[in-house]
Amino acid sequence: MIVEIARVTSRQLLGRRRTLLMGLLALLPILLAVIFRLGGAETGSIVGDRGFLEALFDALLVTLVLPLVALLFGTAAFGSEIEDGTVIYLLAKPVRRLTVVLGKLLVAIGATVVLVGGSTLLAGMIALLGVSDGQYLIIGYTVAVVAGAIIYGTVFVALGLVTGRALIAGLVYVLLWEGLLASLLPGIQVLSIRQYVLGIADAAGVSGRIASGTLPASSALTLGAIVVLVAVVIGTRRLAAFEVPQAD
Amino acid sequence: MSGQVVDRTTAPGEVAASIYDLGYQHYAGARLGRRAAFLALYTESLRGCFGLGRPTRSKVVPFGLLILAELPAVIAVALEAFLGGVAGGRIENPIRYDNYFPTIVQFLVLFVAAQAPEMVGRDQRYHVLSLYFSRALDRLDYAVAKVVALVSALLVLSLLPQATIFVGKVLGSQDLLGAFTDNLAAVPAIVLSAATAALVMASLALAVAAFTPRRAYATAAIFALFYITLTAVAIAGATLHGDLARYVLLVAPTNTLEVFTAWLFGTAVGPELARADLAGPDGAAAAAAMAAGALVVLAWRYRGIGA
Repeated sequence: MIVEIARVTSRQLLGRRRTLLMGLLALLPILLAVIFRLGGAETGSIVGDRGFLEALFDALLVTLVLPLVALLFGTAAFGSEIEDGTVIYLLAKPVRRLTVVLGKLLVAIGATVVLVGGSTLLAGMIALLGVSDGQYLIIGYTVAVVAGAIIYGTVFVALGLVTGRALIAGLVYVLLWEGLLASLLPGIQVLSIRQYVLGIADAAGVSGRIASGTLPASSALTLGAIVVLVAVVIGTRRLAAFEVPQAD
Repeated sequence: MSGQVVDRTTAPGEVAASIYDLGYQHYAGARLGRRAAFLALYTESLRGCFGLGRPTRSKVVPFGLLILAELPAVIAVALEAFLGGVAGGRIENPIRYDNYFPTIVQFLVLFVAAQAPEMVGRDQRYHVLSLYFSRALDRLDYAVAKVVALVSALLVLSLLPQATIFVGKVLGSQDLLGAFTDNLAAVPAIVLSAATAALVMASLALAVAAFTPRRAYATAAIFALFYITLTAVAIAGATLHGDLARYVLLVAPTNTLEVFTAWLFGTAVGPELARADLAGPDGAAAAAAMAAGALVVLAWRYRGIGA
């Protein structure tokens, strides 16, 4: 059953004009990596390219592209069903709510992993191939982006069930909470998925080469797992008590 | 009145055909025409921008952002009093007329990302554009009214805090009249920079929003347009060489507006932009090009849109 739900969801999410937007988002880091490689910048050492790589991975991929793509896929997983009114057919089927949520998660996370993970891997390979120790950075950031896709994806799928305006709420979270407030109030870092992603990147191979001042890997993984579990539980409970909204 | 049988054709006693008078009436009032239709659309769009006349949940986002945009001004006034009194005016207030736009630009971006799709998305989603266009309203009138309404809303967001600082500065000084004339000198730059920023941001956001009836995706696309380009050009600027590295920064709308604003006030831009050493007129040209391009795209979209 989970396969059926995933199949229907993937048809809803992919293959529309909006996929084009996300394709562009994923292409941008690769394009920048090409510019970087062709620009004749010093590619001999990681230290020399620190500014570029940090900007590419940390500022662009982890901070903007990953949350945005996960947000679009995640909130659309249930959002488009609720908006189109087809959620009734989904709820009328004798399928466990958890199965429905997991099916939706599978597609939202899978699509994010393919797009952003692929983008990270390709951009990393273009920018870093042939650089000593470069492969650790590529692996570290790709692993972190995949983990980030799981955490962000789960949270945003649940958010799509909690509020009708999940996209705005998610944007506010990404931009204001993780962006502005986390830089002003360091305590927020413990409550920011972005920091979990950076912590995982640090543990998975980046280890001090780029990112600085991240959470320890163990707490990043633990907190990330807790967030995923809580989001799945909230999403399932919301779906169990779901009331079909009136068209506005 | 409906259903009442009126017999007008026959004499008493005769049986004949009769007509049901359903009570339909022609509109007998004044026809206000295109200008009134435009004004009505403008007013309703502007009210809708702040969720006025809509349920409370539509007011949360616009008014929340309005409060967030106003907050630094309140802090500035409080600081002004503090710095003038305790610190004796030796320390400069960190929140001023000239750097207010960079301070609140995030809230302005969130505002257009949230409200531009709200403005044009529903009409497409529920296929009611034909109802507008079958009236005195022209297709272009519709687009222009929406742009002007969003520009007005953005002006509220950016000028209200500036007015707060203005009043705070004037009332906070011993010499009311002197402070008034002192601060009056900054008003043209404040108004011109706010108007330019509002026009550029509103036209770009609406040009994107007009292409999809789904508000959520329009929101994300506008967000990407403003934020992803900002980061991408920063990276490209650090990677490229020569003039290209400097001018690529102007691709991001908020950079362009920051350069233009700093030029108007005669102040320096932030450290990242300062390194590129972009001239004010370049910023003005880029801002004009963006607004013009976005308006052309918007006009083209509404010329051809299937009502």
